[in-house]
Amino acid sequence: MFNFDICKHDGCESYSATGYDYCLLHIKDRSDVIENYLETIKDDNLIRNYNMEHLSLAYAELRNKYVIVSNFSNSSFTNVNFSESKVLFSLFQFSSFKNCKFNHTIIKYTNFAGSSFENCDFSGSDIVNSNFIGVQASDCNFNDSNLYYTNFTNACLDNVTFIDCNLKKTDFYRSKRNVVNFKYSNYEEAEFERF
Amino acid sequence: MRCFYNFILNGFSNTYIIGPDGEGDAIIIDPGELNIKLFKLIEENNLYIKHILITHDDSPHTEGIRSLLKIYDAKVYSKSGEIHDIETVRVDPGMELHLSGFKVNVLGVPEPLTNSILFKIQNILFTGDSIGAGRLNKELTSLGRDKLKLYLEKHLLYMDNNTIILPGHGPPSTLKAERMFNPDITDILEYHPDEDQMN
Repeated sequence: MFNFDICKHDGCESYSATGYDYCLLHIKDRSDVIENYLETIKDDNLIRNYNMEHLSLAYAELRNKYVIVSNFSNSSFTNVNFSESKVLFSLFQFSSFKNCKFNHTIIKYTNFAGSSFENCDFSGSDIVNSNFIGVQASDCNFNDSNLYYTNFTNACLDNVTFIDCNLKKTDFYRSKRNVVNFKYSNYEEAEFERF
Repeated sequence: MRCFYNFILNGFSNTYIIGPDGEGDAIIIDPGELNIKLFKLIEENNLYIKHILITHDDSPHTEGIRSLLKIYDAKVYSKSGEIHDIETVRVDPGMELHLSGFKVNVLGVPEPLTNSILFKIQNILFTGDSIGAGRLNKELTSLGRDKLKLYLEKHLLYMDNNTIILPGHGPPSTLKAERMFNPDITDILEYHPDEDQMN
């Protein structure tokens, strides 16, 4: 898995970047580190055991990657293309995603808690047993996706579409939903209340 | 310290291994089965399983014990003291173990109702079925849940925000996210079961 060493900067609670003693926020040559990291993953489809908290990426192509047991929490992704990627058992908590593409991705056992999604496209994806609790999502599209056992508890969903999705055991408990479309989906099998 | 994750099809459960940076003795948590992938993970990283920690006695977390014991000379640690007719080292909440160079804190509700214990190694919390990402154990009785909530309020919620939660099923999480968004945990702030009735 990703390393569990805390950043050596005084008072910092983040985990240090893979191969470094500090997290990306406190590494002096931050841009070089990110550039090196992008160079490393450019040709390698497997992104495994990476800890890159506080990563900031814009206009990046991460298509068809296999991300496994990695930590990208507290990161920012703008115009990043994750299409056709597989993401397994990873952390993307408290991150920001703007204009990102997740089409035809397979996302399993991955945690996006507390993240924000703006104009993101997840259509045609398998998003199984993953966690979107407390997310803020606006103008997003999950159409034609399998969302089995995925958790949207306490999420704020504004103009989000779940058209023709599998919503069996998808949890929307205490979610705030404004202009959310469940057309052709089995929302009867989703959970909106807990007893 | 290195931590390895392996998905087990039996009950869609998670198995974890904690080992040193190089080769050496390792701890396995909740071996739901010993499959080829898990075996390769152990052997290719030059690890030797010396300790088997069980969060609770349930097949998706224990089926691999017998196979592991045929290969490795390991001790098993559980709350019940016996699993699949195998005698284990009985551990109770509050105990501190020192295994393969790692300090292991045993946590949990000190009552039989929940049947689960948790293990903390450095800043990782192995929660078994007690705490999952966004949920507490659904199968608990209401009294068991109240006891777990009370325990969480008293102990776990004061741990560091960046404590990583590695549950027996489902995705990993952090204590910060659970504290902020897990409705069972946020409810603790609003609902305080009468402690006298709990004890």
